[in-house]
Amino acid sequence: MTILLEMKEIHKVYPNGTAANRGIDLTVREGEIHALVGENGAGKSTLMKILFGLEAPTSGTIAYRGSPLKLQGPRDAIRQGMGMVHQHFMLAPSLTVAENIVLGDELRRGPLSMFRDQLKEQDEIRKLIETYGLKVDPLEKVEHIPVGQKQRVEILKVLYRGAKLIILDEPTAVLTPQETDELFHSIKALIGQGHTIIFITHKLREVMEISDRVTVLRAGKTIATLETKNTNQEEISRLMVGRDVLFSVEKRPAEPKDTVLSVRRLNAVNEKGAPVLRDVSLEIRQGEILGIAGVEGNGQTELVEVLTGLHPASSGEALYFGENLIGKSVAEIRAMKVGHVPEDRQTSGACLTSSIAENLILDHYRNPEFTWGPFIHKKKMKEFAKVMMQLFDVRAASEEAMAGSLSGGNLQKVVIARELSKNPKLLIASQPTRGVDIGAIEFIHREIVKRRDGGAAVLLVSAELSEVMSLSDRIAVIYNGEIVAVLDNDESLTEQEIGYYMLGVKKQQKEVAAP
Amino acid sequence: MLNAIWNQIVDLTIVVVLFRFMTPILLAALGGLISDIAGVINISLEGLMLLSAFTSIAVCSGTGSWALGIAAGAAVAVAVSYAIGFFSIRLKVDIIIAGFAVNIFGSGFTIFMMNKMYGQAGNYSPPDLHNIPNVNIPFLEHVPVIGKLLSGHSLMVWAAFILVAFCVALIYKTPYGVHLRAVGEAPDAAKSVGIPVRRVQYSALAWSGLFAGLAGAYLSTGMTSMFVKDMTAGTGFLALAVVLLGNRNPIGILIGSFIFGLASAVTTIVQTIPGSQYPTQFIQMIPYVVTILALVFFALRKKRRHALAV
Repeated sequence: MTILLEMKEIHKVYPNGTAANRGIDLTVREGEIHALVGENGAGKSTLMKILFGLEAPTSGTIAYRGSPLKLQGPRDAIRQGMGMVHQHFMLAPSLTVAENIVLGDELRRGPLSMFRDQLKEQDEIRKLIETYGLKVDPLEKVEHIPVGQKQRVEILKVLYRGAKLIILDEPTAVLTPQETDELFHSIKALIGQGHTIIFITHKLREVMEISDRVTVLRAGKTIATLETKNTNQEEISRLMVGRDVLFSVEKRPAEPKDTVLSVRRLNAVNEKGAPVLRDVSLEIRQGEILGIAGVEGNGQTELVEVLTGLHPASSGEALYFGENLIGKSVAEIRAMKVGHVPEDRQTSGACLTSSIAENLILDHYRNPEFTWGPFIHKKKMKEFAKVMMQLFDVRAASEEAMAGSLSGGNLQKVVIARELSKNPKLLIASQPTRGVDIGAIEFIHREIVKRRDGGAAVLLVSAELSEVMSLSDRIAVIYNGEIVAVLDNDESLTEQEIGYYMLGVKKQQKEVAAP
Repeated sequence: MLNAIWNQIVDLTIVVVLFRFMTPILLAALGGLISDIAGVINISLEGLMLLSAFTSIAVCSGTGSWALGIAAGAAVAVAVSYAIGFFSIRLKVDIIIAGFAVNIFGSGFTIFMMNKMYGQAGNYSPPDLHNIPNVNIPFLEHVPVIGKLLSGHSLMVWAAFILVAFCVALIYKTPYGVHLRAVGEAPDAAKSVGIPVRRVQYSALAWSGLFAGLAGAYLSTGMTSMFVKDMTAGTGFLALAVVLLGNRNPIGILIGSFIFGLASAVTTIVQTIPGSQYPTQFIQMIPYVVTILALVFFALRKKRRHALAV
């Protein structure tokens, strides 16, 4: 096989002194699916920015099709036949699929014409759709199509620009298992048509499933490039993290006791008045983890917000040790020993412009332990913070460092530390490991299981089905604001099975957890 | 009194007055629209109109050419819009604050210059000003109804209507229009396919300056023949309301301008009727009351539509 791309000894030092890439080698062969893996901050995105012309390397060489590559910007990269499908969709919602695909390369009615030739554009797009089997309606507005199709639009976008080398940046992060299967199908079709794929991911299972070779980055350096068929998940993760990582969460079978939270016929509407929760009924008991599976945007966020007092319910009740949480304020609910790890640590989980120590006592500062008259007892706060940072392995310069300066994983540990330090009887954890690297995921999972074993009830919401499956004792599937199934998480339960419920294809017949 | 209004409707005077009033609103709103869809909403339309109104009447009376007057007014408005772009896009000043600064500057600076150049404090009306001409259509002007409907309007009235069509074509039919919308809605997406986001935003601001400039020039050298301090009297803000009310598209804006123009026309007609028993202060409130009502209506409709959409 010929070598398509060769990046050698790539170094990138940013003006502020951060060395993001410290000697990366990446060799991609023509026609292969090359997985690129590494923890957050390992240098993947910087490397791809360099390859795509968004950043210039400090040193190092790039050869593409055997000749050295000098890029001034993304346009150059596109002209060279590279295309990038970004992790966050780069689409304008109110434009049509066709307009998004041709954006920046519109066809005109003639060489001198001012006007777009929309018919010709649509023809070209239909041809592409046919060739690659990426089904999507070119005339539909992007805001009206589901996530899986949006991704197809992104792929069509790079194909329209004639990309031969396609970079997929964590393409499965937002997809259901079925959509992921379809994506993999499309990727294989692309390879069949002579394209080459660089596949960036966190999920090692996907690496094993689809890639031909895998390059592992750690701390800005290439650690190894392996033939996928000669390696396994354990080896790759060891290379990524630099030590052994436990994959499956070690936990004993649950020993559920008294009911902690009993949600009955809960309904809620969003700010536009549309229903987002429909008759949700759930039970969570001491010593068990109830996982909520579902495609994002099906009511998980609102369910958590209603239970924590952030969003009003229109009817129904949520009995917490017999006391209704609905109608209580956030502070009242928190005072009842309900811990909440919000889904977005940047906006609602932590205050980025405060110090780590301040963030750690955000829920405890009224506690006499931390006050001195009307003031906060700084010394006690700092002592507490130091202990917490050690317990939860928060890596930062000091407890006075700004929370905003922490990496995603460390910031999440701060949030988790705060919520667990109150010894919650009910822990509501929303996306607890989103965007967190493998080492930290393992740690956070262990902490959550530890709380369960200590007798807390845990409500876990995650877009990662694998996370829900590995942590939960029972799994409730939410679809369109409705709990469509409550399943015992045992060996017989498969991702496919849950996937059907997530997509609304299947629904448990009998009324779930009737009040 | 109703009788008097009815007479004006029947003899189509109201149409003439309506066109006069809606033209500056329409022009300014088109400018606001282009800046809004590119995500750089230009709230300084008011100030730009004042600057242009003063510049164009000064140049027009100095050179005797209305065309030069319009050109100078528009040029000043475009230049100031570029300055807003420089501050907001390049130096990252909040665009609302930059726009407000221009509104305050436009009011103060024109009064200052009027005083310095002409020694006038309240208004400046040059003798024998060569106004923007009216278009009298031969033959048609003598046909009873159609004549009054189509003939005798200022050139700028026609320009405004033509510019509506121009904006439709620009926004929906050209690649540039798609780029404008993409830049306003998803700048990262635009950037990722190599669209020069900043340049598009600068150009959108320039368009808004051009349109606001035309609107301002019409105020001083078309609709009237003088410059009065703060003569825009909120037209620029009204235009911003029209952008929202018109659902951010040129045709909607045409309709919105029509409604506001009508409100102003009624105000004027009622005021000029001799022996009106209503206090003028109340009559003059009509356009602003219409603005509030229209925005409330718009908000309700939007809410209902959202509820229906899900």
